[in-house]
Amino acid sequence: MRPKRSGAAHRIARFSLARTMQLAVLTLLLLLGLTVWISMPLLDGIVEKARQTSEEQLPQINRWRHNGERAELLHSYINTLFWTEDPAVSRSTRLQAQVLVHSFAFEADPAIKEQADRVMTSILALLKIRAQQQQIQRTLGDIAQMERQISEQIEPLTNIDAFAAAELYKLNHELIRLSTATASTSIHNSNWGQLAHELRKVDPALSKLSAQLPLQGDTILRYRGLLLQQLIILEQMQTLIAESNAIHAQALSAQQQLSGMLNSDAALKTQQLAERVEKDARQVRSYTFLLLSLFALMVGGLLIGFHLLVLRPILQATHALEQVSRGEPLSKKPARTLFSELNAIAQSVQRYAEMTLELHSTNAELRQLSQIDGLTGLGNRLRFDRALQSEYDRACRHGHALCLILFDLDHFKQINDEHGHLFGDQCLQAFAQLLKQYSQRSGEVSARYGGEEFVLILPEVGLEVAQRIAEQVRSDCTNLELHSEGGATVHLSTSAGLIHLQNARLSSPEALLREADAALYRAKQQGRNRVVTVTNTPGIQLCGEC
Amino acid sequence: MSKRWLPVIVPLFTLSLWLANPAVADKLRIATEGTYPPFSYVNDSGELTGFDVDIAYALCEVLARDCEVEAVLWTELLDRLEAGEYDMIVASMANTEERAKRVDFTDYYYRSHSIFAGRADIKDTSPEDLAGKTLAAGRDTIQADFLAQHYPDSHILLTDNLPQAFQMLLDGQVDLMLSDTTNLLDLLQRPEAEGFDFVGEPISSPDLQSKAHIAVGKGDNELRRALNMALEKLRLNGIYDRINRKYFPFSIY
Repeated sequence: MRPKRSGAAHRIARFSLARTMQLAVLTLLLLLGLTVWISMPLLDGIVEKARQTSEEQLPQINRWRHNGERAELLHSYINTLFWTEDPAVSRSTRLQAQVLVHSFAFEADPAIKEQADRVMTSILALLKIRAQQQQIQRTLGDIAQMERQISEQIEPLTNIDAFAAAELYKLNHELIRLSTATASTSIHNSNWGQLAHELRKVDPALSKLSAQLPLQGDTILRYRGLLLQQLIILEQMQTLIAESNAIHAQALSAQQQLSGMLNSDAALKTQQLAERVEKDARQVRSYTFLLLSLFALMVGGLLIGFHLLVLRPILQATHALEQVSRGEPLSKKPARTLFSELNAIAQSVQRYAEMTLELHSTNAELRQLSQIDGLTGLGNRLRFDRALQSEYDRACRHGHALCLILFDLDHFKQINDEHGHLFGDQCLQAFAQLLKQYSQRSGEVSARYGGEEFVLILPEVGLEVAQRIAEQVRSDCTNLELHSEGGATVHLSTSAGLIHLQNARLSSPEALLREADAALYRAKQQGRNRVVTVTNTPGIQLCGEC
Repeated sequence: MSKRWLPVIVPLFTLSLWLANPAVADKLRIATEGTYPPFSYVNDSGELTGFDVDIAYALCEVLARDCEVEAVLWTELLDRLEAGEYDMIVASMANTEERAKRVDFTDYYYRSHSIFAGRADIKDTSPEDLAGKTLAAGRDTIQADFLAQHYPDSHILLTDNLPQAFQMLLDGQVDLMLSDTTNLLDLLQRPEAEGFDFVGEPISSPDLQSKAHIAVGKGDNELRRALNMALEKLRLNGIYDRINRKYFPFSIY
């Protein structure tokens, strides 16, 4: 039966607690490692992208902004240089533009510097034209000065008719107006085409005048020469204006190209980086959440599992041990558990309980055996001593009566000598059998005091009842008839010393015994086969003084 | 406590209070040049001002430290920093190998080129073309070293500061001067500079550093790092741009 049971246990408890614990811890560690393994690269990526943003993209955005400002500034420099006719402004602006263009040399892309240089070349070409135009303006002014002098020479001639004089006056007025107009010109504000047209228109009037005033022919011819010169210069001016407009447009388009080259997709890249960082961070968050939930679930499962599969069997075993220590039999068989170690513990507890119970019963048996007289089956002297003490204590506690009767078979030595010891033993057994009948109630004890002396403890009985019982025993004893091997019939008799205490507290067990013994002795003295009673004899001490 | 200890304890207590206050204990002493317009110069009302000076004060504000900025002769700057008279130099200083042996430099805080300036009729600036001509530069500057190395056939005249060199140029005592474009722009825009101009292209040579740094004492990494972070902060929070615009029409970073 046993091997089969252990085999079944082995089949059920195939898990070792230690192994399971190791496995659980390992799984948790694995889960933790997995979390780190999954989130580390993502976190590294986030760190790297943050670094890229601050170390690469942000400076680029800053540079982009500065470059945008510089390109705009260059645009305004070009326009200032185109429109201004103030040489001081032009010089200052050009110097600034130069330094600004130099600063583009710091860009990593050499094409940017080249483009900036192209813008500067256009600016310098524009300024060269402006210088030529200013030269032309100065020449025009000089010529106008000469014209004014000549027209003054023409004016004093008065020997002409009134109509011609009026014509001349009108012409002269026109010439003065033209020379004033050409003396102070503005590149942008003067209407150069209109001026040339008016100069051309005045020429036929002058040739007509020279016919009218042959004496002044030379002067007028000189004037016409100057006009022609002015016309040629004006045409040059118009060509230069067209050229400068073209160069201006060219400079602006070069500046626009430069602007285009300075544009950067840094902002877009930064935004993409930010989006990727966000995505990574979300991923890390969801992974972490997932794994932490798993972690929490596992820990929860482990706790419940620990409670059900480990703690409960241990508590049950403890409970069982307590039961065993109280000497109670186990209320139920220990439940099988999942883990072999706990199963082993439960089985050990079971075996221990069984063994303890066995020991308990053996002990009780032994205790009983040690207090029984082997021959008669009554209590022996030990049993009597203990019973006397405990009944005496009980009587003291509750204050009830206690009676002790000491019996001695009469002439026992004689019977022994005549019929042999075996027959003597039969006599003792017969008397014991008789005495046993008078000790049936609880608390009543019959015992063999030694040799042929017997004793009866009767608690809670009155003196009369006690005396009656002693008398009954004595008379029953005389009725005993025993047959020896020799065929002789032997009659027994007994003497008894009785002591009855109404209040046990007034005496001690030793005194009790002593008084009973003395009473027995008196019974023997008075001729045997009788009961001598002692009650509350003077000389018996109080219990408190014992 | 006996009263005779009082004369000892009271000054000690005051001293400890004074030492415990970082703003007082750690007043930053900053040196600049003072004769390098528009980076550092004394204005009409006699105050030391300029781009470098403003940057220095802005840095102090970011570092939350009290500071005083003083003008020191260019040629004495490094000596006096090494002597411990100053904590840092903000004077448009280029990081050269020789200087880096004596002091430590922060990240750069602006960039510009070196260029010749002179009468507008001179066009070429090759060493052959300038042989025999008199060239001016500031003493102990990278431009002075560059001229000594690359223009051995020219007469080189070193001045204590650049306004001096420029005055000699205007007076015709020298044919050309070599300096920083932004510095020359300021000088050339003055009315008396009519007829003078940049000559040639900006010089791109490895011997002419184009970046200006702040110098701190050798091994003063704590201050150097703090300054680098403060510079970055200034550039990002717009204060650098504001100072920049005050002196230059465009960004010089």
